[in-house]
Amino acid sequence: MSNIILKTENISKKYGNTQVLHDVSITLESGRIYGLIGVNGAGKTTLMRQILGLSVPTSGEIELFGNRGRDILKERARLGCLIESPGLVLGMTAKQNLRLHRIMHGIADKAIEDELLATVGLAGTGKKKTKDFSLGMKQRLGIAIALLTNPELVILDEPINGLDPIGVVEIRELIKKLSEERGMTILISSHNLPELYQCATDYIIIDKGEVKQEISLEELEERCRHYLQIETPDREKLATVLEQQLGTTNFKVMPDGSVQLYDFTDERDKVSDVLFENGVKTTGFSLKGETLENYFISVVGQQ
Amino acid sequence: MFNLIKADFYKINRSMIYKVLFLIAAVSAVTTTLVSHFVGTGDMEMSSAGTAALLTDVVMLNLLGSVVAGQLICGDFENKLIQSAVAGCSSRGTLVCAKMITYTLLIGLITLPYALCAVVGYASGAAFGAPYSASVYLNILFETNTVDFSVGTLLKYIAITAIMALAYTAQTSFVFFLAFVLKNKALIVTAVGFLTCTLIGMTSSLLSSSSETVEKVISYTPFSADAYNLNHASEIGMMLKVVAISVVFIAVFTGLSIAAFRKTEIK
Repeated sequence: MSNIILKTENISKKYGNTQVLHDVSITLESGRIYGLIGVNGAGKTTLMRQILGLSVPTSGEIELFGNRGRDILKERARLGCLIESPGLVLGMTAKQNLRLHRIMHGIADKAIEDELLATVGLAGTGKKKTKDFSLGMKQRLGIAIALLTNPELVILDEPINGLDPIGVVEIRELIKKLSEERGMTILISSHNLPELYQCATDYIIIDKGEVKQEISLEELEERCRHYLQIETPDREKLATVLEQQLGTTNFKVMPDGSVQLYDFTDERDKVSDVLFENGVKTTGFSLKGETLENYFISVVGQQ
Repeated sequence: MFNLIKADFYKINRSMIYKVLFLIAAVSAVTTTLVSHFVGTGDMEMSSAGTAALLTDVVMLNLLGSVVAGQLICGDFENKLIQSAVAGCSSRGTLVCAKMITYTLLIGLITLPYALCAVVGYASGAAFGAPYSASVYLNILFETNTVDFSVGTLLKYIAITAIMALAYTAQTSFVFFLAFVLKNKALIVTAVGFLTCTLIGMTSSLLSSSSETVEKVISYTPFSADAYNLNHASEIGMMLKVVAISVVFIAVFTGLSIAAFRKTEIK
């Protein structure tokens, strides 16, 4: 059985003469956390809105849980979402808002209200109206609402916006927990790659309405890996010194003859001393590797 | 659809604005009934009763109906409940139909104080004056002077109440449609809706008296005088005609609302 949850095929969206999405094709697999990364106005929210049926694509097709066309309507019951800000009645308490959404979705289990409030850390809010909630509390309640239907795919649009650092960590942990314990697939957007780095397993980089890159965490780590680049005419001797004197085999000889050493990136002086003491002549010695921000900028092609 | 209606009433039960609207309807109904009584007993001149015409069901249902449409639909666009419903699994058509049922029930609730006043007035045997405004409830109150109390007549008045709730829903169904077009602009929907409904009502009344052909055309709309003239003597056929016209009007505007909302962006 296919573990593909969502597939978009050449989704385009145009508002007047403005092309907001251009042939966006993505595939989400079950149980993974996808980070949708793009600068403000890149098309992240628009893409999410097409998936949720809040906006109709100009062209292209969406496949949800293996169904297309009108059949995806009923499949949306298997989704949970938080787009921009949650749907809340500000004059109601957190529990009343959850109950309203529970009734709307036809969920009979009343116990889920307290359970979800505890999950998102709002169990103690009692009679406090949501109009008196901080932005972070509203976002947490929005996440609780998104989880009401025990969804298989959760779509969260910038859920950590406006949260304090502790709130960011808590939401990140919650997202990881949902994926690990409940096997939920999560699509989470952000304009900040490092922000998602600690929870996403896959990344979709979008810019100007186009998907620029789909990359797994492993690939991203590989591309953003820091290393010492050592250039020398005496590669064999260098390899021997690295192995015998520094006790590492964590290096690669590149096709151009340079050596990439992935250990000792914080101990450059020690490496250069050892090479000097062992008579290895170097013509180049520098710390290389992308930061997450730089990598993102290089993909979207901005300065 | 039932879940959406149930959720609407859960929210309405906890909202102050709907309670205030119901209170306004109740106060207006009691006031118009008392004025009718004072006119009937001769304690008030008919000319002085004119101001109370602004509180009759015709005016108040246009006003309160427009406010209800604004709150029920635009309010839900503003607080993103419509977004949640659509992103859940409700089709847009189902959502519009559920809203129309909720809207009709709310109009029924707002009509209720007028109906109760008419029934209580009828049962009390008190004297009531001639209608000082085109209002079905003032008609009922006036005819209680000449109609003896009977369960049959009481049931007929209850039926007229339900029919009038439908007729008022039909009259204001344009506002319902407008709310789905303008989405989160509750104030504009209320103002434009009220003015349009009032204007159509007044124009229909004026045009009906100007030509028989126009009168005939208007008789096939919920703004027809037939609705306002329902009383204990009205035949079943006439009552069914008002029901049918109202249902068709409601269906047309529900259809238009679905068409307007079908592919619209939900922010």
